Amino acid sequence: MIWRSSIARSLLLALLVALLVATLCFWVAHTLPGDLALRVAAGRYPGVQPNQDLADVVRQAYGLDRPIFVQYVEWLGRVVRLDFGNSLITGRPVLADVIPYLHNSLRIVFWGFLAAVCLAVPIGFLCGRAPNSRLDLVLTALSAALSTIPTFLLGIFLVQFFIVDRGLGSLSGTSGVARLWLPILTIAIALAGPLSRVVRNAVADVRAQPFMVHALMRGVPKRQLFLRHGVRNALLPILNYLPVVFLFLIYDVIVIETVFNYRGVGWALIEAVKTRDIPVMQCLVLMLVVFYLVATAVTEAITRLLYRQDARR
Amino acid sequence: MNPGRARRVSTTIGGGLTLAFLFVAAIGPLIYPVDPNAQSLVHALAPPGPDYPLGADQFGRDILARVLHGARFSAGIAVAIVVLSLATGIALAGCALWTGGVVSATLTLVADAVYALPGMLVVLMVAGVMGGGAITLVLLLWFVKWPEYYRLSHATGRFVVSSEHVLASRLAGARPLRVFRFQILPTMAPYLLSVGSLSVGQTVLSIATLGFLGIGIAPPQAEWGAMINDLRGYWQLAPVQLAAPTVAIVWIVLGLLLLSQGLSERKARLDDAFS
Amino acid sequence: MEVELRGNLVAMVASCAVSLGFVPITLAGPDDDTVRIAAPWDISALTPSAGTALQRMGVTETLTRPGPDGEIAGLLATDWSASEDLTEWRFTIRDDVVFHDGTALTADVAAANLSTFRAENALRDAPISGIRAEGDQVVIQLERPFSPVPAYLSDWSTGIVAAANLEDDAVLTPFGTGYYRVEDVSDPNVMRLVINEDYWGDLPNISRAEYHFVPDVQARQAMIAAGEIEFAFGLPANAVQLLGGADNLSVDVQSLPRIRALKLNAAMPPYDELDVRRAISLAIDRRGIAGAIVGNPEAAATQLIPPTLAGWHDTALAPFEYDPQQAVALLQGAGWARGDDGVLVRDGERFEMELRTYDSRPELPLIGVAVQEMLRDIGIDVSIRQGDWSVISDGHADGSLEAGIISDTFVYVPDPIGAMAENFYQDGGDWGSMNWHNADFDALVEAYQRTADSGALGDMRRQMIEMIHAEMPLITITWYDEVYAVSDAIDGFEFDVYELRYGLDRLTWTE
Repeated sequence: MIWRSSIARSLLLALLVALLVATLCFWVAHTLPGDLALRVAAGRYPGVQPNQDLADVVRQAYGLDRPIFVQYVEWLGRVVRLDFGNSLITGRPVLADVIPYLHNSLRIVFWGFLAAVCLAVPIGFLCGRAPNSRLDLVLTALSAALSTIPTFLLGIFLVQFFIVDRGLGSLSGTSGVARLWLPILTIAIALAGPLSRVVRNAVADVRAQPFMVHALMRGVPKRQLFLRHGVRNALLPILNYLPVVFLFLIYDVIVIETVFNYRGVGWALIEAVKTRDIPVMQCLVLMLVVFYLVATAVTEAITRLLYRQDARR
Repeated sequence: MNPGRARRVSTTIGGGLTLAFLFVAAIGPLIYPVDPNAQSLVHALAPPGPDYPLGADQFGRDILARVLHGARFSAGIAVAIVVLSLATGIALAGCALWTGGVVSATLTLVADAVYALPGMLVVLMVAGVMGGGAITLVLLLWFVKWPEYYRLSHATGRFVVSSEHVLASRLAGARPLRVFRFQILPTMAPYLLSVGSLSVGQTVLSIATLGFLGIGIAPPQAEWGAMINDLRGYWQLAPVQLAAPTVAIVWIVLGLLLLSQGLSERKARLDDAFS
Repeated sequence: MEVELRGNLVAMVASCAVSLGFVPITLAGPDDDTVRIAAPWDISALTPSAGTALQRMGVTETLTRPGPDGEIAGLLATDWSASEDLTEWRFTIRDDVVFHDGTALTADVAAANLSTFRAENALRDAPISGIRAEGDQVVIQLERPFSPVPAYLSDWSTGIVAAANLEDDAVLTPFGTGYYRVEDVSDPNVMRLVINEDYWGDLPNISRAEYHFVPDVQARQAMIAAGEIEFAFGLPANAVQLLGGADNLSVDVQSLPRIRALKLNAAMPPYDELDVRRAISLAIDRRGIAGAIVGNPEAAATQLIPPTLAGWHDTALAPFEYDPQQAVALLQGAGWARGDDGVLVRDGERFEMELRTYDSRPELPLIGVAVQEMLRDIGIDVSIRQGDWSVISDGHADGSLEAGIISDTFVYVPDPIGAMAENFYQDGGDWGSMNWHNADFDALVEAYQRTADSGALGDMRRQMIEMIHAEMPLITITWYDEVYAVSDAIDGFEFDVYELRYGLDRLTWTE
């Protein structure tokens, strides 16, 4: 019962967040300094000197002269159907323009996340197995140092060192190992810092638990001990931490794509913000938020499935 | 090295770095009174020398002065944001704890929703489109940060409010604010201090990132992220000028991180005492 | 609606699935005969009037084109004639031209193009009363005598597309008549072109071309240095130093009949006072800006138009001066006095200015910051608002613009009278004056447009330039050097000073 109502609350919360962001998107577009109709007119009739007459035409055609609340509800209705209107720059439907970006971003995000996990878990495990050993102190200090370096600095440094000075990579295109390895590595390093520390603490905590000692006394071989009894328990705090990792992932993708000139969602978002291509910006922001909410919900669902019995107990 | 010593070392180094930084940010511009915005186009990208201790940027502006004023800007904004959010979080949590019921549930739901928001995304969008400035940044970051403190104060405060000595004070007719001041706040303080110092560091990083992306900071304001972005094309021509703001960022963020780790160990000991 | 939604969802799921794999690198470049260009200009909508990419890459063509000396030659029009009073122009359309979709170019299609896009392209400034087709001729009717019609028809925005493109609301594949046709524009930032085998003229040597929109100047620089593109346009002045050492490319500088200027709203106090405008001009250290930011002290402007446009540059004019003290004196004379914070005050009002810039040309925001500081020195408190170019055009349209750092060429319409009319006639234009009214100047423009005698024209040019030099509706800061890099693999590139084409048809690979 408790379980079900907490799902309901999570859903309500996710919905609330999505609505909040959507409202902010709408509000930003409509409190924009300058006339929205003029912006739309400039995008709709490229090359024309935008003027008040055209703005009036647009205002009528797009219904910008109606009460703001009516426009808001109608806009929400269209957004739910994934209809974001046309880009003010290219004049094409927003979704058609945005899908290639999504495609590109998923590529580096998926591999970057995987690489981060592959980096963080072994490091965290090594440290957590022997907390406060020399190895632990060195690696912890290293990961702390890494998390103090802002991602954009890391990116600039790697681009300069590997691509500009040594030619070991590429800055154009969106596919191929030469193009992708460095952005993926940057994401991995940026995420592995905090993630490895969470893994370390989880492993260290579990090892110190009485039930581990108990199992050892019961005669579970030392080598199998962690695998049999520790993993399950150490995984919980790590799973709980994942939403934070997803949050970092979103921010890092924006910065990394900008530094690497990589045509993904983050790059497109910065461009859309700078050129005030409002429909594209709204679509991208909502897309990122939905990605975050879905990823968080999936993690939560997995956690629940894995630890269901514990909850019932 | 034993863990206790590592912790003390971490607190000392972190505290030292942070204090030194705050000191420099506070009085640096006074003992080095060079205008950070004064240009001298003939001295564009001048290397470090007697006139320009850390060199000049592409407008011939003094990098040292800009780094010092950037410190003041970032630290000022970050502290303002954290103090504002802290106050809001504690006040609303106190309100929720005291009244309970629907008010508490609603406040918690709103806080959870804003907390679950990818905050920087919102800041980026709004500041980017509306055009930024220090005030806009403070307001936006305040909006996305207060729930953190609300949740923390609410969670820690809950135990305290239901504890016997608080109950006793309430029954004795003590006014809410008084109970809060003398009974509840002292218990929450160590948590808030640790999270607060970490949060100041994160905020400094956020501001630098926004500056780097060219969002929310209006020229000629000296800001580290923006300085790095402006100078990154001059990697070979002006290495010192590029390194100066970089070192400044790492310095303050590392200092605050170490400090908050040291403090959080103190918090852990408190946790043990509670259980 | 339902179908569309489902289609979108399917497309998204499919794209997610595909993205998870590393797609093998698709090599473009000399190896598969592709010339690649990176520019700071977005591709925008795929209509000729929306962006320059289609025209410059050789997808669309105009009726006329400027020759090397600026004389107008035929392109899609073979020849033309005007009525005695210059109010009716007839253009004969080439009869062997086929659009990329296989339909033939006719006078009907050409006339339909010109009338459809009339409000959106260069023709909006021409006093046109009607456009129609008659046989193989396009007939343009004018309200008053107008001599530069052929020049207007070579502006990039007047490119001709197939009839099918005129009906679509959002064009997905533009069908032009040029030597390259569009192969793929699914990525809004890359335009992939392939040779048009049915081209009516000489075919280019290189069979494929790609246009990449790369707004980040650092990225353009890194791409050309890494040999990932053959051309990088819009580089900063220091690219000469930074890329000079590379052995696979050359960095070139081309001076253009283009300026960087400070645009002021002449209707907004205090910019409606000539003394204030003059003080602002006096406070700007053009040589300093030209040396430190543009990379060439000789690019400091001395008057409105650079000497590269010989007929429009008046060597007798007194050059702009840099004299902050005189600027302060002028402002004091106009009743301004410095307040406690060093900012000028008059009648309780602080002298504050919002200066707008955009970064498609990397040096404009830098000039903005430099001007901000120079104006602070004489007591004007300047705040900068940076965006894309629309902060200027929007501000011009709704009247909210106070001041802006802009750049404009005088030869998109190869006869500079086109730019003069667009920028200064009556209310001015996005990239020229704003709310500056001078009846004498307007009369001169109209007279110029109906005059053919070259002596009289020269006289009128001098008068126009003098008026603008004296009244400063637009304050020129520097002349313009385009810095660009070309890969050594390319031969035969010539920079088109009219910025109408990249001349891809003349390029060859070096052996």
